[in-house]
Amino acid sequence: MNSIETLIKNKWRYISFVAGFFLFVAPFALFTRAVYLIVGNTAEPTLHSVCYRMPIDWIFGGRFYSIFGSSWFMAAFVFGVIISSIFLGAAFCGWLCPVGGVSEAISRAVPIPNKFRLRIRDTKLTVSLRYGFLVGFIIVAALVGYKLASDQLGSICCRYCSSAVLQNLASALFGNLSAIEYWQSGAIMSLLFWLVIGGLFMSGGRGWCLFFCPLGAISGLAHKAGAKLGFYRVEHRPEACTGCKRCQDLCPMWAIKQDHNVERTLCVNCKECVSACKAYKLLRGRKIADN
Amino acid sequence: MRIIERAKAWWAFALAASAVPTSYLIAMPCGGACFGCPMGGSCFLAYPILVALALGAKGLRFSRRLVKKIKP
Repeated sequence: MNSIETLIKNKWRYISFVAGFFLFVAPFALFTRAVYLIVGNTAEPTLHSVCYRMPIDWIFGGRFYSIFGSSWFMAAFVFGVIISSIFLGAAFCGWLCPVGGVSEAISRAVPIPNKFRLRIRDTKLTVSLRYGFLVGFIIVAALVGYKLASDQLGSICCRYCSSAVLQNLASALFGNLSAIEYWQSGAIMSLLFWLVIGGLFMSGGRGWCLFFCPLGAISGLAHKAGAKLGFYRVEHRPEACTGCKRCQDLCPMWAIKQDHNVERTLCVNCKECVSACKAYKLLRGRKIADN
Repeated sequence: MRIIERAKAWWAFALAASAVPTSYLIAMPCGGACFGCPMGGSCFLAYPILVALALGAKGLRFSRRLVKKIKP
């Protein structure tokens, strides 16, 4: 299936990514603007207003009180995404997140052959790397938060922040050129890994989401718990499978195992496998795919 | 076989978990100013070099398979 076919079959998801951009990224930030209007907040909303990572950094860095302070909206947003993942899968990542959406769109749009793109076929290895990086993020958050390491570079989430890079690029695109001071080494490395290596040179274009997004990793765990409890999930039906492995090539999150089952901690509920193949089915409730 | 697979997964987990603090601490001397560190900005080159090596390894595997197919 080529890019155009994929685009047509999953048009609602790609339209949703565009909506995600307008909902969360300044100068539009329509969702945040609407909430700010309702609660009477006069601040100018940006993608940073719904930072995916700061509340996680606060919790593991011993600053629990920050989630109840003036940044309560940011914390509520992050916890909302995690809780919704229990019931709907990591739908925010797969349908709305502008950071993942931009890198995936760039990956789909630039026709680099798959043989020049990286991909780990072993899902266990991908999961190990993903949660290893999450543990590393938590370790640095704790080290800096509890003053066991120098905070010269700021918190881990602000130093390597793809959301801030996207916001700065978007602001520049709409006429507000970023301050040159912003483009320090952390920002350039984030840009390099998020768009160039994770986007262009990784199959599916979601290298950043796979390895460096703590919210994505925690949402994956929430989705796995939700699927075990019988909520929303994608199941593989072996009796309808022809073994063509197209699903493995299409999955942007490398979530299809060698036996074609879905690795829930990686799945973002994008439904690319469901739209491409009859062997995948969306399920709710405790029934299993063969029934 | 199962033990080897598990060891591989745990090795990857440990490697990733230690890579984040290490990279954060290594970047400390530069203070965020690029090329200001003792490494002279070589961290920028590290990512592309790693990816080039991985792609090279992949290409090698691909060409080996191709040669095997051609062989009578």
